[in-house]
Amino acid sequence: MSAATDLPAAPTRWRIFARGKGAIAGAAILVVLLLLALAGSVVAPFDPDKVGAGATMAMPGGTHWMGTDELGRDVFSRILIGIKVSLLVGLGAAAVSTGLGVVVGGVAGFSGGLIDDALMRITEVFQVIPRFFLAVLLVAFFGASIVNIIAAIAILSWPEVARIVRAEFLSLRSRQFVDAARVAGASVGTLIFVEILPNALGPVVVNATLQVGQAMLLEAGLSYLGLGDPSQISLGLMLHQAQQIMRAAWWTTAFPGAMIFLAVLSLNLVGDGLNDVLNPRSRGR
Amino acid sequence: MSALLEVRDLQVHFPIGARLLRPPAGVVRAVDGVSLSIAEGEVLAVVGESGCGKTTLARAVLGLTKPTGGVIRFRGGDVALQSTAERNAYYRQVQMVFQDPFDSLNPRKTVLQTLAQPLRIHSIVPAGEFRAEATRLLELVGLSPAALYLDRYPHQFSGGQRQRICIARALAVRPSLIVADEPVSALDISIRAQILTLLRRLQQELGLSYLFITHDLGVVRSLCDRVVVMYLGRVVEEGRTEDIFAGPRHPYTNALLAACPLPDPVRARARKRATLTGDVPSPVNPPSGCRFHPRCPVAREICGRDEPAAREFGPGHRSACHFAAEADTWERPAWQLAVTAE
Repeated sequence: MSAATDLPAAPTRWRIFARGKGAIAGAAILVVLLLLALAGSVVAPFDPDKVGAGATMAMPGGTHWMGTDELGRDVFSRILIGIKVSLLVGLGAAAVSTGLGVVVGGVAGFSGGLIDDALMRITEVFQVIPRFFLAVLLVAFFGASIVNIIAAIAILSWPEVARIVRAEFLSLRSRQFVDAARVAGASVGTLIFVEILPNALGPVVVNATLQVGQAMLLEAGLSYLGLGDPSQISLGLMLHQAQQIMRAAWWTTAFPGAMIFLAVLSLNLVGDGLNDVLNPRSRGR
Repeated sequence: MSALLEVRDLQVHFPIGARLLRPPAGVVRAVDGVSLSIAEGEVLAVVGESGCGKTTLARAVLGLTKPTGGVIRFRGGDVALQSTAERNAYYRQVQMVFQDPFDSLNPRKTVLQTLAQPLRIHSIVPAGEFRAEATRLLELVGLSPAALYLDRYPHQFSGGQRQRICIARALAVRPSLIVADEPVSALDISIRAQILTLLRRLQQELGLSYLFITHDLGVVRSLCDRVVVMYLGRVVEEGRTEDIFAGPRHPYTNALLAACPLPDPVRARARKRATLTGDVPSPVNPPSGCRFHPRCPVAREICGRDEPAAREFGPGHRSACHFAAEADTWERPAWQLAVTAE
């Protein structure tokens, strides 16, 4: 039996993540965005709601880095708040939909049989409805508050998570290491949460990251159509309000749009990086 | 002979094609009335082709598949795996080594975590001693120095090393019976011998019993005391290993022995092959009478009509064939005669 002395040292998770240049760039952008969201109200040079903080529709310049809108509000200050609100919606919706999807998909995949059949038919009902129109309907019906928007987006997104988790559980539950744990005396809870779920988590975490981006886009879409929460400055709401003056003052749409783009891009890059880390086969390379 | 494990008339039937609001389309009779027993310290082989139900039998013994009929007794007591306490008491005594070492270790757990799980669940040693106990287990299965293995993940090891880790895990609870489901068939031929040697050594040192599932008769000869031959969910022949090898009493066993590769090319060329034709019939719809009759070289009319009962031909040597008494007239592979002469 040859000794294991020549085995390569296991690369740390961080090193695998850091191998992807895109993942590092994405993480950097995301960290900056998160810091801006957290510190937004402190570092904002103006009160984001203050009308006439500068001239109306002033070009970006020294005082107003990203110009002002048609009411003379400082676009940069508003973007700082907008990032926070949009990220909040994105993270909230992704968290709720992932939680719901993991529970439904996990139970369906682990149980199999009739429970699986029943849960999957319910999931499909949610899946066949065109997402955006149902979101419009839900928000129009229940009112455009942040919580309702998060709930509407989460209700539309969980079937995807449920299907991913179910597929993972279906293939993992018949793996021999799960049987081995059973024979070791593990309880059902241990089987689900210690043996199976960590192995299913890779695609779930990656999907959750992408869902944050998707939720932000969905929220921007809703807000752009005027279905956002009017009391919360989100990036989408800024786009909505700038519709009329888009040609005269490009900066009122370009900067919020660029922020949405950066946020979604960075989330996708981080998602890819996480995929490399959480896929155990990529560790040994 | 006091039986450690006794299986009586075990049945495992799977309904197939059942869906929501749809009744099953048929029943797979994977294990259909199997009886066997293993004595303390005995190594029993279960042999058969793919699909004969031997893996299902192993899983049923471990409670991983629910039997649809029959009784399993361990040390005389009925094995009931309803409550956690009952399961834990049973798994303290009976453990399993799985077929595929690349699939039977959780890829996200280090070797130490894998070995600590049974130690913790069954309170074998206090939590502070998991590392020391895991070290002892790894050294017991020939992985030393153990420190090189404990904090690594399964993907960093070869198949042979992984299977040793799996054996260590099975030994963690200090069981008396280990069910081994083709433990070497996924390994390279050179590693097989090492693992078999390890299993034999552990069996002797620790006084273990094995229920050894295999399709490799070479493995049976080197390791097992008795053999049970399965075909389509039934036992067709059983007996001591030397009796089975010297004088099989069932044409299926005869054919299996003939299909076994020979290490000596001169003898290999000299032997006549009683090759089986056709595939194993579907266990959804097994043949009438003797299940082996459509492929049997000595089948006659009665075989398609009446199911043969097992009859005894010497101590513990039973065969379920109408013409088992005529076994001496069957075409024997030449090497078998050589084995008898040895």
